[in-house]
This record gives sequence, C-alpha cells and structure tokens, in this order.
Amino acid sequence: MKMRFQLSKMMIVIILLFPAVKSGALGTEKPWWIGIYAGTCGFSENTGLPEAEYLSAGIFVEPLSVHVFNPALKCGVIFPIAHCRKEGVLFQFGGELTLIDIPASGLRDRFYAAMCISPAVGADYLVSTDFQSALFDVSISPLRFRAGDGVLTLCSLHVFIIESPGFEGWGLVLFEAALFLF
Amino acid sequence: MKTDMILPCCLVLLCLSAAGAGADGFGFTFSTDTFIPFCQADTSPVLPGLHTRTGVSWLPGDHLEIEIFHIPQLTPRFYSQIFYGFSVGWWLFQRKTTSCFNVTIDAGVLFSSDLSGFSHTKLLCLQLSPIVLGGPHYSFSDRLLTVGILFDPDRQCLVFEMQFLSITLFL
Repeated sequence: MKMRFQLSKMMIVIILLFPAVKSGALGTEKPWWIGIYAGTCGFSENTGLPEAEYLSAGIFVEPLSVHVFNPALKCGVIFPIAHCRKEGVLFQFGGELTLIDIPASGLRDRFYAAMCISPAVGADYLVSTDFQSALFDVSISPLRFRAGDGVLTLCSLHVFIIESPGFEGWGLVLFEAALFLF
Repeated sequence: MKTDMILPCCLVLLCLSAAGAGADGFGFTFSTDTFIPFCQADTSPVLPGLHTRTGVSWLPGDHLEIEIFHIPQLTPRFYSQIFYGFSVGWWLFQRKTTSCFNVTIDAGVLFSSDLSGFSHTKLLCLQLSPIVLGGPHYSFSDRLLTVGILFDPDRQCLVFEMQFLSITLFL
C-alpha cells in the first residue's frame, strides 16, 4: 500500500515536470506541408455548368514552405448544392502559387495568430465525372490570408479559357478555408 | 418616398446613430449564404446560384444586435437578384469584456429585388448561430455554421439557409 502511494507521488511529480520542458527539447519543428480545403463557389452562365451554388473540398500539398513564390498542388471535387445535378459534379486538379507572404501587423489584434497577406495566382482543370469534358481556368486571389495552420481565401476570381474564342466565362470562389494537418 | 429608398435611409440612420453612440459595438458583416428551397424550382423565391451577405450591425447593450444587410446573387448572373433585410438578434450569454464564446438567435425580414425593381417578395427569417467566437471587445467576431429557416407567406415556401462563415469587423 505504501509502495503504491510512493509511485503515485512520483507520477504526479513527473507530470508536473512536463511543462518545464522547453519546446526545443521536443525536436525541430517541421513545416506544414499537407492539408485539406473546403469552400463555396459559383460559375457564370456561359460556362455551361448548372445554375447552383457549389461546394469544393479536397486535399492540397505545399512541399516547399517558402515565403516567396511558394507552389502548392491540390485535387478535390466540386459539387452543386441546392438543385443538385450529376452533370454539375466535377473533379478538380490544380496548382497555386503564393506570390509573397506579407506580414499584416495591423491585423494582429483581430485574429488568433500572426497573419500574413498571401496573394496567389493559380490554374485549375475541372473534369466531369465521366471524363468526357473539361474546363480550364486561371485564378487570381488577392484577398488571401495565412495565419498559423490555416489559409483563408475570400473572393478569388477564376477566368475560364478555351482555345477559341478564348474567354468562356468566369467563376468566383467566395470563401475557401484551408487547414494544414501535417 | 419610393419603396426602394426606405432601406438605404435606414442604413444611413443606423450609421448616424452608431456614430452618435461613439461607434460602440458598430461593425461591418460579411458572410457566405446558401439557400436550399423546399419547393419547386419555379416557385422558389430564391434563384439558384452563389449568394453572399454584407451589412452593418450595431450591438447596443449586453445582448441585443440590430443588423441591416443585403444579399446579392453573385453567380450565374451578377446582381440579378438582391435581397434587402434587417434582423434583430439576441446573444444568449452576456457580452462581457472577457467572454469569447456565445450563441445567437436572430429574427428578420427580407425583401427581394431584381433588375426591374422590387418584386414584392417578402421572406420571414429565423436563424441560429451555435458557435459565435469573439465579439466587440475583440474588434472581431466570427460565426460558424449558422442555420436558418426562411418562409415565403405568398408562395407558401420554406427555404433552408446556411452560412458556413460570417465575419464581423467592429470599429
């Protein structure tokens, strides 16, 4: 009985010592490189896609974690909600290039972590589920914010391009949240 | 006074009253807005497409919130349908300087307008925001997964509403 009491005391002391360990002792922190994203978007009528609000979701990889010209790849699915139709479901394969991370010290008091304004450009292939048709777009995301393990994109404009006559329509990602997991 | 002048006038009055109150608890709101009608597409008061909601809100006292907003359709046709509306909300827990979490319930009215003017569509709205983080003391708040029910008494149509994210930036 006395032995068990001693063990319990020792356990409590060990547990209390844990916060005293400096974070450096836990090993070098690895940068984030893979995560998930979800957002809402819509497309103009001349893209030929069904009239609806769309949800997008998928995974992304950001292998380099640099502050200038930081590339990322993503793949996922886009599907219509409200008036859901099968022809509106698309696979999304894309790339994105964060141009620069600009520290936004003015937003420090408003969010939970230090924030950077991280504008980006990108390109996407949207492929139908039967792989019979595809759309190509280029995107610009000036309102893109990076804070801690999250990236928040507001009002990203997508321009759809075809060989002739060139412009096929436009799309808008109203809001997209990306969260790093590993 | 023309009908379409009422809401802009209300907006100006709200701004002036907020300015008079030292802009305490006065903020700008931005949110996503998803509508899923529970009636036939041809009788739905909401056109299918991407919508957003922007407005101004004022939080007098410890629980109350008053908001004037507009909800434009962004796609497939930019600003082809707009809803104007106002709502009165109640923050369930008292807004203290140290409180960060809250739950809100809002009731409101929306009026629809299209390119040809007001289409006389009126919607009654009831919303629940189960996760409200931040508040006027933090100069920022965000609501996650707000759900709502809209009712069109003329068409007898119910519309489910969902806001994945709603951001308020307080002055």
